[in-house]
Amino acid sequence: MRTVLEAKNLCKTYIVNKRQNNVLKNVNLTVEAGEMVAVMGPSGSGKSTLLYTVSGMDRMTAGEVLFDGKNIEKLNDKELAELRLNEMGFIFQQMYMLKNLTVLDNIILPACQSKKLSESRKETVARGQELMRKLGIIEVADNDINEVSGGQLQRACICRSMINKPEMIFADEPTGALNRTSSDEVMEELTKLNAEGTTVMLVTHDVKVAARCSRVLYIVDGNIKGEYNLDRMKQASELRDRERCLNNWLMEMGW
Amino acid sequence: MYLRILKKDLKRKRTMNVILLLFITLATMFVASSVNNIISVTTALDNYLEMANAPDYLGTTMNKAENGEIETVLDGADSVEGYRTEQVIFMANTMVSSDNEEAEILGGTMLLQGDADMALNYFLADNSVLKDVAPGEVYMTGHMMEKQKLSVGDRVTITIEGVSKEFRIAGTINDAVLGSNAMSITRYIVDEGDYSFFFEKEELSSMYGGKILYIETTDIDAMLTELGEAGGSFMFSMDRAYMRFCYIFDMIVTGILLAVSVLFIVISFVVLRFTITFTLTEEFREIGVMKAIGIKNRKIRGLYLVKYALLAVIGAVIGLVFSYPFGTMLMKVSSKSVILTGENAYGVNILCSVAVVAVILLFSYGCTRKVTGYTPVDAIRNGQTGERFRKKSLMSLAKSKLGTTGFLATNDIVSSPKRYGIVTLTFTLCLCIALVLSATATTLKSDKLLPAFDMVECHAMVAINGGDVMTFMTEDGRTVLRNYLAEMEETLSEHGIPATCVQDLMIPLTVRNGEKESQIPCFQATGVKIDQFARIEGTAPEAPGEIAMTRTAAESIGADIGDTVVIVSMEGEREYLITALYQTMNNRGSGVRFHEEEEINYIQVSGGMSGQIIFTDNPGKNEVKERVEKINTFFGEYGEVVLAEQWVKEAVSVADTINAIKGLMTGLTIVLVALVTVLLERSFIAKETKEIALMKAIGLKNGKIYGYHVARFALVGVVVVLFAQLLLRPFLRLCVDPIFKMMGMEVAVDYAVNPVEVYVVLPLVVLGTTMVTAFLTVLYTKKIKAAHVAGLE
Repeated sequence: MRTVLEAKNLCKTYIVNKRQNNVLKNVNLTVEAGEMVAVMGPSGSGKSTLLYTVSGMDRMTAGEVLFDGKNIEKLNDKELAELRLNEMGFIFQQMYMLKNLTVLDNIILPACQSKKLSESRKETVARGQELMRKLGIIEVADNDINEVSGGQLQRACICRSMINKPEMIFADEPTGALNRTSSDEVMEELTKLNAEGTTVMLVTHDVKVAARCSRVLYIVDGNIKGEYNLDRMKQASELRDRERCLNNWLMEMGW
Repeated sequence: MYLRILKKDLKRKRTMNVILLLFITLATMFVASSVNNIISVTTALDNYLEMANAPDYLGTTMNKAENGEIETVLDGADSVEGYRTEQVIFMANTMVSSDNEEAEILGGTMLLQGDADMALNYFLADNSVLKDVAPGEVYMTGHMMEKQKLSVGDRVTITIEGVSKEFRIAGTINDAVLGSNAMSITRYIVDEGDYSFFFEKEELSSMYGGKILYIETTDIDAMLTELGEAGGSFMFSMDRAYMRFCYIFDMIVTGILLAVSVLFIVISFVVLRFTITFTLTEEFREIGVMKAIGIKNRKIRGLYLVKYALLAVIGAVIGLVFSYPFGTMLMKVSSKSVILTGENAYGVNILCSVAVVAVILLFSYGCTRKVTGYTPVDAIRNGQTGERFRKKSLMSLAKSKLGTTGFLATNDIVSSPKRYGIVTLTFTLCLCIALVLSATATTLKSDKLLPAFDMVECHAMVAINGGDVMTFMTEDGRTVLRNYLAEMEETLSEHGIPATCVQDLMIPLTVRNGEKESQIPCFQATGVKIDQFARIEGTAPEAPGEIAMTRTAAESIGADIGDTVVIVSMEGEREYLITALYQTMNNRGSGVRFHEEEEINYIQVSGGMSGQIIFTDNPGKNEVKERVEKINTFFGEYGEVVLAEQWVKEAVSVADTINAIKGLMTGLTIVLVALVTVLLERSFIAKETKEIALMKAIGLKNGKIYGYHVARFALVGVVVVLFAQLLLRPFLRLCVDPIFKMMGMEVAVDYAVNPVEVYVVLPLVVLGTTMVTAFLTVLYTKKIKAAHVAGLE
């Protein structure tokens, strides 16, 4: 298996009001291509910080992060932006979109900026529409972002994250603001994407969401306390079994 | 609590508050200093005229046209309380020369008088009164000395009919009655002995001698009636109101600055409104929460009002402090020929500042009305109430042919018309200030203003030697003038310049309509047909016996087109039909124009306007310039020739001052545009932080974000340039027309613009300033990290 993401001795410290807050302490992790990794942990444990630091959205204080073999700390802002544009996709808990654009425009915006696929605007639009069709939201393509439901909007965010055919998708509590039905729909789509070969790393509090992943990292006080490999459990192919096993493990971890 | 919240808010929105403070400061400074200056100049002018012992009425006569009869009439007139007389010699510029090689002795009336019978108080540079003049020395009108590039210590030689004497300029005088910019009369005051020296030749007194009568009366109309025909011998006369009017040019600059101040206030209010609305929109959560916990609307509005009250008070106090030196500086620039007496009216500045604070508070109170519209639900639902009345995104990236940067910028503008409408309005006002001043300065030195001086359109003006003009003021002056102009044309023709030469002469005559009568300056031009003069109504006189009149003159005697009036001249009374009305800035808008064939005894002529040269082969601008230079090489015997626009510039005399003010205001406009851009862009960044972070998160480079933000201002800038060009004329009508109207113009002047300045330089300066400032401000977004999208700091 090819390693897509590798973090070595990753540290992140915030200084607020002259007080030092070590959010990540010597975190080491690797994510292989095609994996779907969930990061879990109590509030304030550093889950989101880990996600944003390994994805280059935020600068690390110490350590090293290799994305596809590239040390992201050594990349300048421009190169990092290029990397995020072409090789990474992002999904956030709040469905952030540009409010003056339609849903479709929001989805195709990164593709219009990218030279990765060297296609015409027409081709980009067709691909955007295809993604929307696939995720079942084509009917809201020309709607404003506040004319659609939360679930539709989060699926639109998934479309946007996919538009440049990234190597890896980072999702920060992608179902956190959704009801159960929408949450299941969104996770269904992410699982499908992963099955098609896209690596996914997501942060979640939801055991149901994490149970769909191949591996779960449990983080406490800025350190990875343990990891649980769901794929090794061949007998636990049923989602409910996976949830039960994961729950048991999380209980052991102190969840 | 208020103070704690206020302190936090002032710190959090530092840039915005500082810029707002600057605007309030500037608005206060301009309003206070301009209003104070207008009041100061007006009151100081009255004091100045009183201190100078200015009369109620002034008349000048020449010995050749008057034989002392007028003094006999004045002695017996009941309406005359008293009068003073100054004996003078009327000189032409050719009679004065200087050892200073740089000096340019300009045309226009020059008076030589002795120090024995000074009927007015002439003020020296230290504001003391001139008592006497040492033999061999001369004092001359200050601003005319400056215009003629003479300095104290220079030597001038006065030569009249072969009698010559050299004088050393001992100092300058301020002549309240004849020394205003509008009069441009140069008075030379010498020792009485030196003055008498010129009368050794007897004929000199009868040819050039004359007197100025300063008459005290409480009833000018009654006095003029009593003077009767004797008053007709006045070659020039004016009342106290006219004396004050002559300082109109000193008011122009202050008036324009007041108009600019009003625009600054409008800009300040637009910026204030934007800031308040923006702050309230940004703080809907806090407002919602305050309402949720039961704080009343009045209290919440009070919270914001305290902040704006504080800014208004601080800004007004700083503006008030700066308004004193600023006002003094403007006064020095704009009112050189008025002696300012007494204390500056400090109270006016304070009152203006208080008014600015009051207006800002009232305005702020109105703007905070929005607070009442917010509900606790807004705080809960993150500002989205679910209500929507129109589609937000009006354009589609999918369908657009624009690049992403261009699309995002254009889409933002069309999606938020109110927001960008305010930006456009602010910048349009800023650019209009610069354009209006540019057009005013250009007009005041353009030949387009010639009709406003009651002149025909021409290419060049010739300051015909005063001595020659005096030869026209004789019984056969008419023939002399015709021959003189024919000679001029022949001389020009010999040098390959086909031209028509024109000379206009003034004859002050009594004009009567029924019971009403008035002494009105009448004009007759030689070398041109009367229909070439501009009219505002009616048809040009077609034959002798028909006249054109200014509306001001016609109204003064209750006449109109179609009426027949009586004009009293030395030949007796004659009836004239008014066929047209015209306008002029000369003589406070008063005048009558005779048909060119009208027979008039030119011995009554009191003076001439500058001669005009019209090149009949319609040469281009550069050719005209070259010709004027060429003419000056062989035209010495007639007088100095200048371009028509140069003549206008000198006649208006404040063109240079307005030009300097224009420079100052253009600089200030640039600063304003830059400040507004910083304020707006910082506001946009504050509001769009999450969107910027999102763009970064999805991989948009900083450069793209900079480009997108700058492009929004660039697009607005382009619209502003177009709007400002469309609004230039209406703004000129609104701000500058009233000034010309004060000078007697009824129909607006034809404004001239410098196309390079108005269509290229100033728009580019504003556009460039906006874009550069927007770019420098948007660099701040570099601090916004992609992670901010998730609220991580």
